Order: sequence, then structure tokens, then C-alpha cells
Amino acid sequence: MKDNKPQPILEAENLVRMYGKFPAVDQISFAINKGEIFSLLGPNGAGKTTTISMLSTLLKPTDGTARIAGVDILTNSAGARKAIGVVPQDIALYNDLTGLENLQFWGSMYNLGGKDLHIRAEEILDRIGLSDKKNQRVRTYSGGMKRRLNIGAGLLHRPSILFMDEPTVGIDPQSRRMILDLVKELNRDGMSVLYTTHYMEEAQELSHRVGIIDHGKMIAIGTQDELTALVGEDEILRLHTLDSQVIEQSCLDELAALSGVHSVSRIDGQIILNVANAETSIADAIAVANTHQVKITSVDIEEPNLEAVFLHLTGRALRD
Amino acid sequence: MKKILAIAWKDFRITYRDLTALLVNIAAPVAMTLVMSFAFGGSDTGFSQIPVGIINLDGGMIGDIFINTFESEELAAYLLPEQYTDIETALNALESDKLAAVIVIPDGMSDMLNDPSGDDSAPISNDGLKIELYPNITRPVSVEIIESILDSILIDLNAGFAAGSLGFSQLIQEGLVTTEELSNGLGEAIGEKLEPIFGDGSSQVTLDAVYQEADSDTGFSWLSYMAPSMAILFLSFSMTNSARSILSEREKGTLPRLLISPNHPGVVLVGKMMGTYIIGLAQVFIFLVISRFLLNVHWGGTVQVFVFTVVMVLSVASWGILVASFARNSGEASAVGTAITLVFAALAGNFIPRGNFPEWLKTIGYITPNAWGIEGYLNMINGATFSDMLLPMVVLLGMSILVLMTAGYFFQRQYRN
Ligand SMILES: Nc1ncnc2c1ncn2[C@@H]1O[C@H](COP(=O)(O)OP(=O)(O)O)[C@@H](O)[C@H]1O
Ligand SMILES: [Mg+2]
Repeated sequence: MKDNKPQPILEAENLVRMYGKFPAVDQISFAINKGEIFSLLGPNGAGKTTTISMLSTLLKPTDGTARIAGVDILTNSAGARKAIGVVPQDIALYNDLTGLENLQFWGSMYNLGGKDLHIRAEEILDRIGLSDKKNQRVRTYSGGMKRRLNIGAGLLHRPSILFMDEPTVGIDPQSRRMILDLVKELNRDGMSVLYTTHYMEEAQELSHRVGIIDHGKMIAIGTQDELTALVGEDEILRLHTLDSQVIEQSCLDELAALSGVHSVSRIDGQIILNVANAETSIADAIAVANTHQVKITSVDIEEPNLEAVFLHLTGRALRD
Repeated sequence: MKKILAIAWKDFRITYRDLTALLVNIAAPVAMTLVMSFAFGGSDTGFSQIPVGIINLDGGMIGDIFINTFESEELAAYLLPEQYTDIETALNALESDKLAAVIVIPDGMSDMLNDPSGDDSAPISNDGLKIELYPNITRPVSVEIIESILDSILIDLNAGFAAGSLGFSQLIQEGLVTTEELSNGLGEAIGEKLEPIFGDGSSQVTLDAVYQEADSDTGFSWLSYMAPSMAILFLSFSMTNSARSILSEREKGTLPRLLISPNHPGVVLVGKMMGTYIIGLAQVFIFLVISRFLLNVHWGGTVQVFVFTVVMVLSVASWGILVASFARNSGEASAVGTAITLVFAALAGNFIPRGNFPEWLKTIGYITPNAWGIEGYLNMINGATFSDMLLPMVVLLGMSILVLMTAGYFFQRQYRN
């Protein structure tokens, strides 16, 4: 008997979390299938951490519920907690314990003990590349090492789904690479992952499916191909300027008014345009920039990606 | 239960892994006990003139020697001798801390040196005739100094006797030594002058002193007062500090992480409380042992001291936990905790004995575990038995339960949702 229908490991139904009258999470529903990496992509303040906190039973939803491994998080929260591993956004470790001691302590909180725990802790240390530092206090670790141990502590009890809340924030490129590879490796071994990020590239590299979240609402959900299809045939024209460059709103307005330009936004020293055809729009765009004394240092043309989707759906860049 | 212990043990390890905590929790109260008892104990550093009472019941040569020695110019910088005629008055002055020690030279001391029988071969009995020294136990350093002065006089005199068996009065009558010389140069002078004349003789008389044990029932010792007081003061500091870690763990994100482990939140909370408690237990028990040997504080019967400490620490810890349960963040807990610690310490006489407090203030003091704690330890130092200690133990236990229940209520309110 072969069932092709994917088995959900997590189903969130109309999750709502109010802070006073402010909806931090507003009616979010999604499902994650077994063996899938699902990314919640959204800017700071979108409601990613709040969603994860509700799913990990730390916050009570104002409304809605979720089932994890078939267990309702409201009626059997302890049962649900056994199935999940959580990697919090803020590093949650004891600085005055060593790496090994941290893992042993967190393992003991998940009913591991004795020889089993010891073997498991060593295994994890090896996997996160910290075996040679295991007897040093976490206080002495670099940011990247702490992030890796923070992940390790969530893996000890072999959860069926791992929640990772922006696990690469504020670390060096090498550690980030290591973490992204680790996520893929864990997934290959069969672990389902709920990954939140505001980095488009990470969602793009890791995810089987992506949910785009903004202002507490899920504004789009699907595979990457499904999502980029939303943008249609749009291409992205990225104009680089000097960081010190002053860009007036009137310049952006004028760019948006050009024919073939669907949306315009800017991040740091870049002006990003969603355009029907980059090659035809490029000359017009540079001309507009010149009339506003905006010096363009270089230009990139990109195929549609998740960032373009976000721009298309919200009219804003991911990192506003 | 295993997890409660795992959390408690984790906190214990984190606390005592660093030397700083050990220093603050254990060395600091020891140091403070010394400093405070010196500060209050009449600046007993031994560097100021030591008031010593002398009662000369002898009236003979030996008495004169002692008086002359203690009043000599050489010792004037160190001693403030005062002669008394009766023991009662002198001991009263001692008890009210006006004197560091009282020396009694018994009647007949000199007589025994003048061999009444003239029979050289019969040893003179000096049984029962001993110079007595009554110490003021709150001034251990001063007493030490007086003891050593007394000892050296005795050694010198005895050396003189060893050189020849003859009475002092005889020596002086024969013009060999003057009283002045006796008291200043003491035995050395005696020995030198006597040796060529008498050759070696045999010792027939030895002078001796007895040091009176301080009476623990009436004697008030600043060291013994300050030791429990400082132990409890520093315990309250470390208890608010450890209990506060519930809040700092929340701020650092480790508490949320604990709360999403598949455990009842109560397990996490009790584990944290237990951690605070065992940190306090370790601190006080180590202090008890150290102060016993370093400060010579005799805490009393082992069983009652042990059980009393177990409830006393619980009750001080419960206040720290209460503060952590209603404070909104660790900064607030620290501020409130310090304030409560200091107010409790003042009310309970952690700094100055409550003896002089007005009655109403003494009564108010009993809301603090500190007051029960200090009083309890002092009573045990003064010999209270286990059954004497039942009441304070029950009171402390009752207070702990009440305070912990209140804390539980606040925790529930804070950590719901
Ligand atoms: N405890 C809180 N009280 C009030 N507002 C909050 C609280 N926690 C989060 N918020 C608000 O909810 C929104 C979503 O926050 P969060 O879930 O942390 O976003 P993200 O993780 O996507 O950056 C933000 O606007 C944030 O300010
Ligand atoms: Mg977040």
C-alpha cells in the first residue's frame, strides 16, 4: 500500500498571538511534511520568533493551535515537546560550563543519562566540530562556536522536527557555511526542519518549501518555483551606488514611473527594481539616476528570486 | 527528582567553580567577623595600652616584683595597670569590658620563699598558691599579650630560683639585688648575681600561674557574636544573588529553553530553588568549620547545630526566592534583595547586638530569619540543647514554608502563558 500523500510532521492552524491589541502573529496556517526543510522568510519583527515560541509551547496562542507529530500542542504540550528540538534565536547556554557540560546538562533535561548521554554528547560535539574545544568554558568560545553549540543542544534527544530560529545571525561566513551544511546533513538523515531567517539566500539554499511572513501574516507559501512564478517573468535590476550617496524619494518615484518597472526599493547603497525586461530598462534607469546626481557604480541583472517575490508582494525589500 | 537535582547541581557548580564566589561567600564572612569583633571589641589590636587589673593580696616581695614590673616604664607603652583591692570589683570591671584581664597574686606567695624551717633539703610546697589570670574573652589579642608578659616574668623568676635556693628577702637584705633590679632585670639579673656566690643549687620553689577559663554563660564574646551574625549576613547576600539567577536565566534565554524541555515548569522552578538552597548550605557549613578552627568559635552540639543550620538556611533562602518571584528583572531583584538584606540585618542586629534595642524594635526583629538565626546560634554557643532549639527551628521552618508559598504564588502569576 503506497500512499503518495505527504505526511505532515507539523500542522499549524490559524495561530494568533496578540500583544495587547497588536497582532504579532495573525492567523498563520501552514504544514511541514516529514523530511522537509521549511523556511519562514520574513523581515525583523515579522512574527517568526513569536510563531516558533507558540509552536514550542513557550507562548500560549491567543487563538488557533498546532499538531506536532500528531500531538496537539495545547492539550498535550509535554508530548509535543518531546518531538521537537529547539535552537533559540538568542544563544541559550551556560557560559561558565564547558561545551561538554552544557550538552550533558541539556541532555539530562531530555531524559538522557549515563553512558548514553555521554556518547551522544561526544557524537554531537564531533558533528558540530567542537570536539577539540569541549572542555573549554563556553565563555571562551567565538560567536560562531556558540551558535554551533546552541544547535547541538537542540539535537541531543534526536527530535523528529528541529526548530531553528535565525541560527546564523551575527557570525562569520565560515561558521555560517558550516551551519547551513549541518542543516542539510541533518535533513539528509531524515530530520524535518523549521528554519526562520531574513536572509533570502539561506531560504533559497536550504528550503524545500518557503513561507513568506510579514507583519504577522503569511503572505505566500510554496516551493521556490511556485513562489517565483508569482513575480511572473520579472527580472531584477540592481543598481549599486556609493554608501554615502544621497538618494531622494523623488528619484525613486521617477524610477517607479518608468514603463516596464513594476516596483522599486532601496537597501543600503542599492536601488532594486523589479522590471519586465532588464536590458530595455537599464538605460532609462541610469538616465533617471543621473538627472538626480546619483552616481551608479555598477549594475546587476538577476533572475527572479525570493527577494523579488517579497518585493513584489509587499513593495518593500526584505531588509528594510 | 533527578532533573531537579541536575538543575540544582548545575547552579551549584557554576557558583563554586570560581574562586570569587568562594571568597565572597566564605572568606568574606570570616574576615568580617574578625574586623567587626575588633572594631566593637574595644579596638583590640593589642597596639593600644591594655588595661589590666592587678590585685596584690600577697603584700610581700613577689607581689612587689609583679607590681613593679607591670608598672615599669618599659611596659608603660603597652599596659595600663590598675591596682584593685578586692576581686569582686576587678571582675566586674572585667565583665563590663573595662579591663582586658585581671591578675591575682595570692596571699602568702612571698612567705613560701622565706623558708621558715631553714631546712634546705625539705622542698617548699607551693600547692594551691598560684598566680591567677582572668581573661576578657572579647579581647583575645590583649589577653595573649598579658599572658606572655606574665609568662616571661615567671620564667625569669623561676630561672633565678633554679640558680640558688634562697629567699628573695634575703637577697635584698644582703644588698645583692634591689627591688628595682628585680623587677626590671628580673631573673637574668638574679641569676648573674647569684651564680658566683652560690654555684648551682636545686630548684625548690616554682612559681606558677593559672589561666582562668572564661565562663561561657556570662562572658560575652564579640567573635562568637559576630560569627553567626556575619554568616547570616553573607548568606542573605548570596541567597538573593542565587535566587536572582532565575531572572537572569530568563533574560539570557536558558530558562525558556528549560521550560520547553519535556518537564513540568514546577520541576524547573524547584530545581532552581534547590540550587539556591544547596549553595547556601555549603556556604554556611564551610563557614561553621572554618570559624571553629580559625576563630575558635565553639558552635555547640553537633546535632542541634546541624539541624538548626538546615532550617536556618532554608528560611534565608526563601526570602531570596520570594524576591526573585515578584521582581520583574534581575536588576530589580538585585536592588530589592540588597535593600531587604540590609533592613533585615539592621532589625536583627547583624551589625550591633540587639541588647540595646527598644522592646518594640526587638519584637519587630523577629519577623526576620536573621534574628532567629543569630539568637539560635548564640544560644547553642552557650550550650543550648536540641530540645531548647526546637522552638526556633519550628519557627524558622514555618516562616520558610509561608514565604515559599507566597513565592510560589508570584511565580505562577509570572510564568503563566
Ligand atoms: N513580549 C512582547 N510584547 C509586545 N510585543 C512583542 C513582544 N514580543 C514580540 N513583540 C512584537 O511582535 C512582533 C513580532 O516579533 P518577533 O516574533 O520577535 O519577530 P521576528 O522574530 O520575526 O523578528 C514585533 O513587532 C515585536 O515587536
Ligand atoms: Mg526573531
